[in-house]
This record gives sequence, structure tokens and C-alpha cells, in this order.
Amino acid sequence: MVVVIGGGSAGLGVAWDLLLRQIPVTVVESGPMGRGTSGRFHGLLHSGARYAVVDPVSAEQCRAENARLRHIAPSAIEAVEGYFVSVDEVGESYAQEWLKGAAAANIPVEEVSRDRVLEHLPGLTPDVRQSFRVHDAVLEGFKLLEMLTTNIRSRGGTVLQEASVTAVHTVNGRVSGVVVRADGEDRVIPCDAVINAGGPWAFQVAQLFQDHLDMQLSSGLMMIYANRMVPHVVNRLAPPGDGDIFVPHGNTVILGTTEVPQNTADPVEPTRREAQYLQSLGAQLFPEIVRWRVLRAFTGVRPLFQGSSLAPHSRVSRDFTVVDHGATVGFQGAFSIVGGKWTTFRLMAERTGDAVAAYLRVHVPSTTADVVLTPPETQKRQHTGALVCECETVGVGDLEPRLSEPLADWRTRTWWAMGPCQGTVCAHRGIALRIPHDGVLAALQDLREFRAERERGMRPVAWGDNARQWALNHAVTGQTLAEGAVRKIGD
Amino acid sequence: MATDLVVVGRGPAGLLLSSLAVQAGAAVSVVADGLGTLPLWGGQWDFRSYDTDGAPITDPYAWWRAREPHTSPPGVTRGWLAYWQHLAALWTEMGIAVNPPGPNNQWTVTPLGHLRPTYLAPSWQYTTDKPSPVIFVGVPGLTDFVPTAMARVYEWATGATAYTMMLETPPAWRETWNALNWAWFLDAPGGQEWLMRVLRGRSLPSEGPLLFPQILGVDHAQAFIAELAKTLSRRVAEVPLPPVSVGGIRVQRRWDRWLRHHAVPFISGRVHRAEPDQVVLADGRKVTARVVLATGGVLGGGLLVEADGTVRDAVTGVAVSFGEHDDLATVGYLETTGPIPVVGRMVKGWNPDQYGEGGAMILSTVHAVHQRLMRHSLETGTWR
Amino acid sequence: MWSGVDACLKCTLCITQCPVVSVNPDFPGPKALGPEWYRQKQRGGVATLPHVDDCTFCQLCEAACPVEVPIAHLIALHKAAATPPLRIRVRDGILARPHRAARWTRWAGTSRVMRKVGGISGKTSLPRPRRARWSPSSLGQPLGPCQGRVGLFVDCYSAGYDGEVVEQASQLLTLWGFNVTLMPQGSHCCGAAAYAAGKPQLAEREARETWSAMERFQDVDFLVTLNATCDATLRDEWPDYFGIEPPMPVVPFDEMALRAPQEFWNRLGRVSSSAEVRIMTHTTCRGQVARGDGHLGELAHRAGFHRVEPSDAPCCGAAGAYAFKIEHEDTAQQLVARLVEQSSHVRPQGIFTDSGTCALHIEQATQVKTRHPAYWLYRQYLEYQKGEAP
Repeated sequence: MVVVIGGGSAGLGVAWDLLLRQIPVTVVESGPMGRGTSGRFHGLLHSGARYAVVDPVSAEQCRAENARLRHIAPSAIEAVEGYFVSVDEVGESYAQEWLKGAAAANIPVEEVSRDRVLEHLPGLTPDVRQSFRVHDAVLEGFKLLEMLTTNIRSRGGTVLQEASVTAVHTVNGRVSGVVVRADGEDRVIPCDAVINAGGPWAFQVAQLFQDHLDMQLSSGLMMIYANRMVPHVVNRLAPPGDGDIFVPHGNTVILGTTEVPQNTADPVEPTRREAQYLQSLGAQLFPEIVRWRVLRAFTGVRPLFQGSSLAPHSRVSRDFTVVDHGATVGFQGAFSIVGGKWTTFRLMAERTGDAVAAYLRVHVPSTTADVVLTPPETQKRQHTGALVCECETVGVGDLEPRLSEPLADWRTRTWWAMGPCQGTVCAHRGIALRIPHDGVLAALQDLREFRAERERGMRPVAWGDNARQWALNHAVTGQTLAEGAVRKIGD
Repeated sequence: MATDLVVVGRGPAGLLLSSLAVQAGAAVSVVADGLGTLPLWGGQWDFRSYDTDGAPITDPYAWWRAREPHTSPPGVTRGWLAYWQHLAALWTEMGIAVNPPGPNNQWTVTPLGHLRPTYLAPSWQYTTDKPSPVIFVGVPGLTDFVPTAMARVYEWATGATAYTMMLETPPAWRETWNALNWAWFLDAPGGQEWLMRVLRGRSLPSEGPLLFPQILGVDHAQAFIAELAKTLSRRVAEVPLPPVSVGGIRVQRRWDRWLRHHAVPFISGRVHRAEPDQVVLADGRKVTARVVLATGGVLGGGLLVEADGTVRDAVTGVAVSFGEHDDLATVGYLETTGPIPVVGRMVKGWNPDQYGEGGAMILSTVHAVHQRLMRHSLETGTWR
Repeated sequence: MWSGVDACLKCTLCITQCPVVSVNPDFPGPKALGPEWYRQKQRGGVATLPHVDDCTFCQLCEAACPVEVPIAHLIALHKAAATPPLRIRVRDGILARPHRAARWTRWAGTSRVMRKVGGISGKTSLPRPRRARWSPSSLGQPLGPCQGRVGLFVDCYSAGYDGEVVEQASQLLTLWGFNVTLMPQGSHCCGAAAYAAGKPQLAEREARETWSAMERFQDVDFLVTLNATCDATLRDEWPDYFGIEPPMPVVPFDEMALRAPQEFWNRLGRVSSSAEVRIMTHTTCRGQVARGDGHLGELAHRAGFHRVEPSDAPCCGAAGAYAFKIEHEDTAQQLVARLVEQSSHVRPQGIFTDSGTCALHIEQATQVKTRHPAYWLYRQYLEYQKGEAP
């Protein structure tokens, strides 16, 4: 048995990898699936072209993994086109070097005429100089997380949510079990190895192994626009920087991102100033962006790895690292997987799986590159029934079969309350469905947290029409629903 | 056209000010870019429903009086009861019966089944002075009103019993129906008969009023509710829902009609420029008369929020607040006494959504400006 | 693309003002048919919704929208994406060119069977041609100095079916001191009917042809419209959706009438028999949206009618050719029912309305003489002249 700490792409990926090697696994996630970096990214399935100059290893990995993910998880990938466009001299002069890098990494690049790119990308700046088509696409992160979870479970693996590992037991310096706390109770799960896939929290998890991971966390801001104003992935052709990626996602488009060093693993609340900055960069590609309806802003935390301070480690790539805590501090059977990106999650899982399998002396190679994931039954929507969420067309029929899921998963799996109104007209409807199931107090607490979370995303971008949505939200929740005053009579 | 007063905006503040001026004999024109936001509300007018800790206030005036005198809006602590009674009388004249205003708040039920205080509400809305057993009547497909959930919350919050029942669907029903579709159905021939027939066939709990979502008709709701109550020998009332809010539509239709009957023209168009005695519309039309802005706050579009956090008046362009440190919920005007008076609930420093006092703000700003206009008309001898 | 296309707040104000929602339980409403359909369409592969064609294009939804989503115009795009049966397409092709239909097609008297085959409503009787013609003024000398030169926009309905009102309006304008030119000459259409039928490109072509025909009139100060729908189309769709500015400012007849010399009103005021005549006014939906509601009442008052009742109906259901289409006949009848009910209480002797097709529809339903304000003012002036005659 191997216990994996963390239910993001890395944790679920390595659990899936080990299961396919016939190694039993239990994934322990302290919140909803993908609450960390995996659920807070721009949704880009990299072709590798972005790293063609700055990180050839990553570029090559992305190229290969892109093709593999299209093979093993087609339903989680929207095969739009990807474009790199240069809009100034910097971009134009970078193009030569970039084309060379792409060729070296075997990344297919096709030049596209100006007329054609303007036709395919309405609203793109007329300043566009060169444009190239690449194999970028859209990776639907929450869908893939759910697919991994259901596939792990159907192969006999265990995935625990709202549970955390509080201690790791050893016998003779080797991992023998973990203490898992769930619903206020501790229990011991015996295991032979434990894998830290804690993402930005990995340095905290590593303390359970008495090791210190030196991580460099940075925050990236993203903005979601309410409509799908850009139909394909668009990258600015220039050395990778801030605000240079547009990714269509469902009915919306996401603009990313920034890079601001930060100290905590929890995502920070975006500010109006940062959002304005990001939008001003986006306007260099799509000048009309200042008139697009913003939906919300959010941040994700990049868990970049600096090193394990206590002993040397082997760096797998500039991108991600597998740390064997047996080698660093003598804590046998404990591993950490740090860094990485969604596009290469399978490769990270395979490399980590290789290390863990070798430790367990299981000589079965990874097969994750070939085994196609089965889409969950519930993804095949039947009859939606009466509408709850009008923006994203989510009905009672989509929500009721999932009442036992925590609210956050309910939301990310059905897309309820994710649209332009941000729950203004549907949050109370969804919560009303949950009240008989969850009980009054828990459901109303969920509603409060949901409102607070939406508020964090809306307030920094409350300008123009979005400010009016924000005001409508306050008026409806404050007056008609009087949610702020929910209490017992006499309290 | 000879006009004494031009009111910009046709939300509750604009309509109320127009009505007061009409009653005082003025010729009023309403200029608005849009049809106003009244249909976003259920129709209840709140005074002061919560204190700063979010605890309900049952006697709003006592609470208000106990506070340090606030500089604005002027007149809020004087003549308040007369304002409310005037509003109640005005509504009654328009055909909107009201639960009578008194010195205290009443309790009303929200679509999630908890109680909140409210001050003045049309009679179709359920209000009570103490929680008691109730019956929530749901209709299929209306996800805003889930009786089982409401009953759980109501019982938790009050300790009183909440019964639930679901109606079946009429043959005309469609899965996409919202509260307004139901209301139009019940207004149309056969709708009321259908509901009456269904209810007569049900055995109801022995106690408690029958509480419906706000769907009991648009034009004929009041009479129908009275008829239902008579037939079923118990109180029948509604719970206002979030938009689509049928109560607000009822109020809007009656109010518009009353003003049209008093020869108030509604001029459509965006005001491009406003001066104290004239507005100029974007297409060049002009209306010359004393100007009052009732253009609303951020939601109504009277205040525009720019990306850097600057908040500007949409008509005059004047910045009313700066920067991201201000709480957007409380931006608004400092006073109603500027060269172009402003009425509505966007009084600086107040958060009407949080404390449930939007109605009080509208009443007090409208009356303050109305009195000012009356003084002016007496002095100048204008108004017929 | 237009601005505001992505701005929808989901506030539902559009639904609350939609006249079709109020009578048709199958109609999905402006929010679903407009912004929500468009948002899904951007993602690709979304089907058209049933009943999209039931929209009357009254644009009250757009007037209600606080963030200026072009809801009705999105619904027109939605209509354009739907493919109705061939016979309906043929019929719509004809009705979308009302200026040609008015010239060549004789609808009135068409048999019931033929109507059914052609998709034409049997419940709404069709207009009989009454061509516009020019005749010298019979109202006497102008009442004041020359106020300038106006073009009287002869819309396709008035041109084909209501020549009388063109004549009356031009004589009134002449009386008020304007030099009147009928515009545009020849067979033209502003494009309103085509747009409402979900043919925005045809609408733009027609508008451009009309613009070219009007551009020749160099020395016209104002263009006066007799039909609120044409008026709104010239002032809204032309600049906002076709990118063409009307060659001269456009003013609806009822607002032009408010500029008539005081002497004119004084004379009408002497017609004593009108004071007790009950009148209803109905500002058409497009008129309400474009200019507002209430001028007709003011005109009626000034014309000496003191018992004036404004209509409560947001849209009468005529909506250009809408009421003539067989699939809309029930909705059109239900929409006008509100006016019928009100008129049964008010018992008016006449109804003022600012559109010929609306007048036709309302008159049929209420059995009350329903005419353009130009008719009523003209009639009142004749009454005045009769009273003055020795």
C-alpha cells in the first residue's frame, strides 16, 4: 500500500500510475479535489512552444505529453488551435530564435498569414506581424481530476477527501503507516511508502518526514472574461512573460498570468491594481478587452522547487523534481514530487512511480501513456431537468445525483454557479437542494463560504458591467435573500 | 411641452418624486434610459432591518433615534412616519394594497425559509408580528422555492412548524417556466380556476397560512389572493423571490399607469448633459425644467465604476469616490442639496443592502428634495 | 461585433418587459433566445431554439436592459440561424420586402385555403391598397412664416395601403409653414421588416438603397416619419447596425406636431364638440423604445380631446407583418387582447396610434376607429373649418 498526500494532478496522477503497476494506493486530500494549483491554472495544454527557447527540456516533454494526453484523456481536452503572434519588434526578432528552438524540440510550427489569423481570431490587434499555429489546446483540469478519481476508484484505489495526514509512522527507519484525520477522528493506515504531492503545501508535508524542502512560491493572477471572446489559444510571441496567454475555457476565456513571489501556500486575494495591470497587457493582443465583460479574477500558486537543504537531490528537469527522502534524510519510503505543470503531470507521475516502484521492488513499468482513462458516467449528461444555474445550463438533474459530493466538487464538476452571474440567481437554489441532505447549518455555512469566495474574485474586477453584477449580487443576497442575517430568532 | 420638473430615472426614487410633484400640481416629465429596476425587487420597502452586527431590529425608529444624529440624509429623523403613511396612501390609490405601516417592523419569510424584518410591504407579501406555523406551497420546476428546504430552515430558525405541499402542473406548463410564466398563466383565462380546483382537492393542515412563491398573477393577483383566502378560509400570501420578481412588476405597472393617467410623459433616451434647468439627450433632444437625478447607484447605472476604482456620476461625470480603499458598497452622494439634486438610496456611507434601509433612504431623500422644490415653487410662483 | 454583446448580468429585466412572454407559455423569453443563445453559440455547435421566430422585435427587452445588451438584435441573428420550412421562407421573403409586396402582391381577398398554404393568418384581415398621392393643400394658407423644408418619409406601408395619411400629414405640415417633399421617391424600405424577420443583411441592403435614394434630397432640414417603426429603424438600426447616418435629422410626426404654430392649436381648441369625445392613445412599442411614451396624449389634449386614456399594452401584436403570419396569429390576438379589454372599459370613440399596421390590427380587434395622429389632427382642423364656414 502506498499513501499519496494531495489530490491534485500530481497526487492523482502518481496514484493512477502505481495502480496500473498493481500497487494499491490511498490518496488523502485535505479539501476538495484540485483546491491548490491544479484547480487554479489557465487551462492551457502546452504544445511546448512556449518553452522552446527558455527551457528546451520542458519544451520536449510538453510536446510528447501533449500527444499522450490527447490519446489517454480525449474527453478532458478541447482540441482548439493554438497561435503564437508577434505584435512588435521584440516579438519579431525573437521569432528566429524561437523557430530554431521549436525545430530542435521537434515541435510542429506552421506559419499562418495575417489575413487568416485575423479571420480566425476576431478582435486580435491589427498590429499583428507574424503568426504561427502550434498544437496548444485546452485542458479541462477539473474534468481530468474527476476522471482520474473515478478511474482510481474503479480499479480498487481509495481516494479520501476532507482528510489529512497528521503523522507518518516508521519501523526501522522505513515508512510503516500514516495517521489520517477525518471528521475529527484519527486512524492509522498501514503502508510501505508515502508520497508527498502537496503542491505549494509540499514543504509543510515534508516536515512529516523531518525534511526541509526549499521552495520558491510565486503567485500567478488570471482573469476570466464572461464570454468566449477568443476561440483559440493565443500566445504572445516573445520571451515568456506576464499577461501573454489567452485560453478559451467553456463559455469563457482566461487571460494569464503574472508572477509575484509570495510566502504562503494559500492563494492570495487579487487586487484591483494587479487586475488592471494584467488587463493592460492583454489589451496589447486584444485591444477591445477593456470593453469585455470581466467575470472574476483568481490567483494560483506555482510551487517551484529550489532544493532540499539537507542533502543533494537529483533534478529531473528544470520543471519538476522527485525527492527521495530516504536519500536526503534517511526517511526510507518517503518521496516528494515538487514543481511541474499540468501538461506534464503524467510524466511526473511516471517518474515518481518509477522511484517508488523501485523502492518497493516492484518491477512493472509504467503504462499510463497507453491506458485510456474511462470518462465517468456522470459526464454523460442525460436530462437536466428544471434549471438551477441559468448561465451554464445546470439543472436539478445534473445536481441531484451528486448531492453527496462536497460543495466545491459539486460546483467544479457540474459548473453550477460558475457563469457570469457568479451565483447571484442560483446559489440559493443549489443550496436549497442541499439543505435536506446536508442539514441546515452545514448548508448555510457552505452558502456563506461560497458567497465569500465569489466576492474575493469579483471585487478586484468590479468595474464597468461587472461592477453592476457585483451590485446586483449584493442587492439580491442582502435584501431579497437577506443572507447576511441568517440566524435563529432570539439569537 | 410645458414642464415644471424633469426627473431623470424611473426606478422607485424617480417614480416617487414624480408622484409627489404631480400631487403638488407640477407638470412632470420622466426621462430615462431604460425601464427602471423596479422588477428586480419583490416590492417591500425597508426601513432599518438590521443593526451593525447584523442582528434584526424590530423597532427601527427607536434604533435610529438612539444613534448619534447622522448628517445625512436630511430629514430622516423628522416626519418619517408621515412619509411612510404617505407612501402607503399613494400605493393604495394606485391599487397596491399595503400591510399597514406602524412603529415596528414585521417579520417576513425569505425564499430560503428564514425570517427577516421588513417595514412596509404590499398586502400580497406574507408578514407577521410573530412566527407561527406556516404551510409552504411549492410548484414544480421553480427552483427558487423549495418547500422541503424552506421548512427545515424555518423550523430551525423559529421553532414553529412548517408544513409543505407541492402542486401538480397544469397542462400548459413547460419545464422552462419561471415565476413570471406562472404569474401570467394564473392571470390568463382558466389559470385561477385551475389553481382553485387543485387546492379544493387537497386536504390542508388544520393550522397556518398558505404561503406561495410570488406567482399568483401580475394584474389580478390581489383579487385572486383575497378570493383564495375566502374559499380556503385561511390567510393566503406570497414570499417574494429574487429576480424575476413578480411583485416589483406589479408595482411598476400600477405606478407607470398612475403617472401616465396624470399626463406624465416618459421620454426614452440617455441624458448626455444635465444642467440645473435642462437636460440634453444624446440625440440632441432637450427637456427644459428643474432637473432632479434619480439615476440610481452602481446597479441602476447612475454611478459608473472605472477600472482604477474611480466612481463617477453617469450623467454629470462628477467623481463621487476614489480609489480601491473605499468600500464600493457605500459609495454615493454626500448630500441631496447640490445644484442638481440627487435622490435615491445611494447615500454616501450607508450600505442599504447590508442594513435593509434602502426604502428609508429613498423616502427621506425624495421628501427632502420635494420639500426643497416646493419651497422654490412657492417663492417663484411656478407650478400650477 | 456590437458592444454590450457579452455584458448580460442575468438580471431578467428583459423578461419582465417582454410582451410575448406574457401571452405565450412556450416562448423561451429574450434572455434565453438572445444573450444566452449567443454565449453558447460562441462555443460552437449550438442549435437554434424553438419559438425564436415568435419574437415581435419590439425591442422592449433592449430598452429594459441596464447594460445595453443588443438582445433583440441577437434574437434576430438567432432567427437568421433557424431554417423554417420552404413555404414559410418564401412567404417571409415576400413579407420582408413590404415595399415590393405592397406594389405587386394583392393579399386582401386571398382565399382561406390559399392563405393557409401561403402561411398567412386567417384571423387578421389584410390591408387593401390605397396608394399615396400628392394633392394640393385644402387646408388654406400657412399659419405663419416658412419654418423650413421637411421631407415626409413615405414608408412602404403608407405608400401602399394608407395614401390618405401621407396626404393629411403633408397638408398639415404645409399648414404649419413647412415646405414638404415626399421622400424617398420610388419603391423603398427602411429595412425594419427584414430585420424583424431575421434577415439583417437584406435589411442593410434595403436601408442602403433607401439611403441612396434619400441622399439626393439636398436641401431638406428634417425627415418626418409617419411610422414609429421606420422612425426607430432610421434612428437606431441605421447608425448602430448598418453604419449609415440618415442624410438629415429624423423626427417623428407627433413630435413635429408639437412644434405647430400656437394659432393651429388655438383653432382646434375652438372645436367644441370634441371635449367629451373619449380617446385612447397607443404609442407603438418601437416608439416607446426610441422616443418615449406620452406625446400622443399631449397631442390629443392639444387637439381638443380632454378625455384621453393611455393604453396599457406594451405591444399590440401587429409588429409589422408579424400578425399576418399564420404561426403568430394566436400570439398577435392575445397581445391585442389587453387593448381590447381596456377599450371595453374606456369605450373610446377613437384611438391614436403612430403606425399604420398597428392601427389596422388594433381597429380590427377593438372595432374602434384607429388612426395615425395626422388623421385626427387633420380631421379636427376640418371640423374647425366647418365651424368657421359661413
